[in-house]
Amino acid sequence: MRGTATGGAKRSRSAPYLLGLPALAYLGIFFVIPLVTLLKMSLSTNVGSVYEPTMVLDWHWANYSDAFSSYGAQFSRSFLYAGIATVLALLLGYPLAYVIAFRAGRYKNLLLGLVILPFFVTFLVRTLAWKTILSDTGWVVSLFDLLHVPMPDGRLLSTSWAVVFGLTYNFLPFMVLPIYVSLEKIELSLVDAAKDLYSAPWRAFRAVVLPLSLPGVFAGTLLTFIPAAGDFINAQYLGSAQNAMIGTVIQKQFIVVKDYPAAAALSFVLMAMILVGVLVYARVLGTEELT
Amino acid sequence: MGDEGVEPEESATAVAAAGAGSRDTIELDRVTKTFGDQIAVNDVGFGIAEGEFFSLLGPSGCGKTTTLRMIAGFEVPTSGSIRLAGADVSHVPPYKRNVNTVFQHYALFPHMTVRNNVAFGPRSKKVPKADARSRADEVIRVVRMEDFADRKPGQLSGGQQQRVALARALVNYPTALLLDEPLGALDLKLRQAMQLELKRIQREVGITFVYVTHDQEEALTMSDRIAVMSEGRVEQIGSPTEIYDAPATVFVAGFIGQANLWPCTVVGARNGTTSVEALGATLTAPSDEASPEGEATLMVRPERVRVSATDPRPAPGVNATVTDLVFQGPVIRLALAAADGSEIVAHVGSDHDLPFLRPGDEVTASWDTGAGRVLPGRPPAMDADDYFDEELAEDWESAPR
Amino acid sequence: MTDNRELEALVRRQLQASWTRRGFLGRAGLAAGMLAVGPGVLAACGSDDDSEGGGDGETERTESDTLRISNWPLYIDAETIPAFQDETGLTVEYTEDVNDNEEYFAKIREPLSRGQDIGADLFIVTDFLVARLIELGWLAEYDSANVPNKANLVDSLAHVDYDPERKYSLPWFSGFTAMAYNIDLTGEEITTTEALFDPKYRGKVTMFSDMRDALGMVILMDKGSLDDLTEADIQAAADRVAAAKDEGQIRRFTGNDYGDDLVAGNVAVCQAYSGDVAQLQLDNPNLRFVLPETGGLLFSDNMVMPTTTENIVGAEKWMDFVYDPANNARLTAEVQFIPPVQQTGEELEKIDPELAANPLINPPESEMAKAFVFPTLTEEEEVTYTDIYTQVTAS
Repeated sequence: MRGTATGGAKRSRSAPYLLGLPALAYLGIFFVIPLVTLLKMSLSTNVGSVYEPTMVLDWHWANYSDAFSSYGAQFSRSFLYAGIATVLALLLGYPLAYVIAFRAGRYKNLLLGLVILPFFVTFLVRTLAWKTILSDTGWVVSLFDLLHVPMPDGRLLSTSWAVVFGLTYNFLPFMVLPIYVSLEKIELSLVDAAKDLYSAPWRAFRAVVLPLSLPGVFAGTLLTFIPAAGDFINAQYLGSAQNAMIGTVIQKQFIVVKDYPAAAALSFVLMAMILVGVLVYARVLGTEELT
Repeated sequence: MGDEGVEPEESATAVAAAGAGSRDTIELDRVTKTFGDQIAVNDVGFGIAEGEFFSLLGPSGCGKTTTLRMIAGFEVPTSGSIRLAGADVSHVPPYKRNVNTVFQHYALFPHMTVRNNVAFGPRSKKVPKADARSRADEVIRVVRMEDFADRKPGQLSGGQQQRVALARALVNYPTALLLDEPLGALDLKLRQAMQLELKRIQREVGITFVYVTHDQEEALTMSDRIAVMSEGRVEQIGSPTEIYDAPATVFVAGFIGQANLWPCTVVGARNGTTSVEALGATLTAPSDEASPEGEATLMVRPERVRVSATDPRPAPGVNATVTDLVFQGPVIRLALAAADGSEIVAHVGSDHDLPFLRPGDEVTASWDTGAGRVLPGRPPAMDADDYFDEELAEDWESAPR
Repeated sequence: MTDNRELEALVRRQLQASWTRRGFLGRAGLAAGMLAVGPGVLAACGSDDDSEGGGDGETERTESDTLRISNWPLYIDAETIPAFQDETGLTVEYTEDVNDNEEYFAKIREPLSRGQDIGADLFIVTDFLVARLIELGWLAEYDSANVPNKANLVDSLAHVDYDPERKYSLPWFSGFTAMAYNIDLTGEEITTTEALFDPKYRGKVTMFSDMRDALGMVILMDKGSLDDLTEADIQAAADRVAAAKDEGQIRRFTGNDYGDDLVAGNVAVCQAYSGDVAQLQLDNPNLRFVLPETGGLLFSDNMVMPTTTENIVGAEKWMDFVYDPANNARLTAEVQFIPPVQQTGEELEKIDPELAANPLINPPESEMAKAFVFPTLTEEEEVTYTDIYTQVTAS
């Protein structure tokens, strides 16, 4: 390196940026350009035929107001389902991550493997498997009947609960893994220190472990909520005719109705709402201070 | 290492003042701790007096940290009992024991300011917020960290974190303060400064300190009493002077300071002196009731060995040949080979009236009878200097459990 | 992302093979499936296009050693392709990547509008899409002289409105869009479309999410015919479905995935495709298929060649081969939809007399009288009607 004299020094300074180039190019080609195209389309009007569209960028903001006025119910349903699923995934995932990080001993890798295992089966197939399990004639429903657990319309499948359940199930690993990583990083001596300083286990958890794991909780909730809010597979297969989510609407607008500007505007509204939600959430949780 | 010039007399007086008669704050009674089939601590028992600076000294894996963790409550003894201020706490969880720990890597809460770290203990004990805060500020002043009270640990240097860790423990007025290699992560200069600082603070607050270290110099400098541990057992407990001058075992002799350890055979004892055969000669050493018989080890500290080229053999004396000569600043390290091939190491002061020596010269090595000591058992196969390696020891102690 | 659908079909087949005895599910895998609606996909819709691919003029006589066919999953038997290859020396590259007409259209629209290859020399889609593609000028005309077996085409399908002389298309199979029910759950034979709206079956009914397949039958029930279809007819039928949905009558809107719920006993009455039912019965013998008294739909899937086809000669050979009655009977025995070849019934008699007697494969006049073809819609009608029904299914 030194042998190349001045040229070498110059090169090594710019090397980090050069290394970043492929990623930047990738982002540019596969994210920024489509995003701009999408934005343009969302403000356009199709003056051609449906099958051979000719888009004219006429700043058609009505696409956006229509998105809000026509599909408010689907938006709120999506956020409600995704919100409940996220909370459930957190309640289930945090203890699981905690056990894996602190209590699993030599079974740690096995348990982590089990958490990741569902990824080896297609998302769709996993969802369809739950259809069989939750079926009206399946053992879960029979068991609930036997225990007199009330079920909406006497069934589990094709209900909003099944959708929420499916979302929770499908995105649980996205909750568990980041929380696990943040818990794993916590030095056990910190827990010892808290106990040494007169904290019973619960306070040691609340005052030390929980705050230090918040970055993981933050990442986990986002990784769960964002895809859950845009999901339509769970609503399609586990939900009923009344459980369409915003993802369903966008998909139908795009494929069936072929109203591309409307689909683009809906996508943008969804993206914007999630973004705003994330920013508010980040502020409330104060992640910047935690890193 | 090799700095035996430390004066242990001062600490010896302290132990006399603190120790005698008063009830022990911490008592360990036949404590054993096993992990699986590994015995970490083996039948250990001792008492620590109130206000005493007590060190647990030993190489890595000797059980000193496990002993400390049992006193803190992080580990439950497999058998035996631990009493704090007279009460059996063997099965009491750490948060119900009035002792506090300064951890090896401080274990400061990274998400809290210095003040909140220090106030953590009082807050756990439900001390009102304002009181906890003022108490914290007070202790922060004692450790001279008042300018950093609103910083987070990540913004502090190692020495500063050390002070905060100390303050966080002291603020609770514990019965005893447990320190687990607290200076291990600091560089030499800072470590020496902190040794004095710790000693000052201990004198000021008058709390019992239980100090775990693998650094014999640190233990000798600071402690009132030292328990030297090896392989889960306590080898010897005593003041720094006792430990240094009258080691009870070959291990202690080799671990504390440097020592010539020669295999010897006890041939007789008379009038407080033992005669041994070693280095191809018959030598004498003081004896007491514990003196062994038969195969044993003769120990002489290198600085007690006199070397003369011209003297017509004062008794006791051993003929030897110079093999090596190293100038070490305050002393010259002489390596000699005795008639039977054993190595004799002598540290000779530079003011010593020494003739000009070079390897191959014939000399006579001698020492006062009182400088020798006969210890039970054979000397270890390896050189005493190899007994522990500081770096290695640290790695060991900080390795995950 | 559309690749997921191929994977999906594959996995689904394995699932069915291992979890149930059902070997396959009639034709398609799943309807509204995994297509991710991301920026990238939407952006692919482009903004402007200019070049009209091909036209009605003379088709270039392209020829190649391979014939690339795109079809619906599980819509062929195992012997046809090897036999065809042996006979012609051509290599067939057969892909099951048509899962849904509209999604397939979304996939081929952009390249075809630019006259670019779509990776298929011949593909199979349903009537209404063929009509649209002919209208757009994206299909290649073939030479009937090279398809002598075209003469075997049944009369009823020989002169459809969108392709009166069958210059662009030849039917692959036909089927009924009607109803299926689980006699164990209904306790009675179902004969009318009304059953879909019968409160007795509340929450145990599924309907199709496709506008034609779902509403055609409802309009027939209300109006008795699909002639002179108006927006009002569509709106009325959609309103009726919407009301049923709001009351919880309709459990789900489905694509080809209706079979799962039906077999599992989650559904008592549903809209269904005729070819599936024989297979579904293997899993659940209580299932029945019915063309309701007021009528169901008759659909056909057709073989067509895009203007970009690279082997029109091979495509003609293929069509001629499958229109050979013996070959067609073998195919029919496996696929179990209604064959478009006149003599197939007789040939089927030789292979499997029982199958030949099946009214769903070889429907008698009386059944055919209850089957209606959904009229071809103009682009504007199509958009309006689809939008009306989508408001119901996606809310």
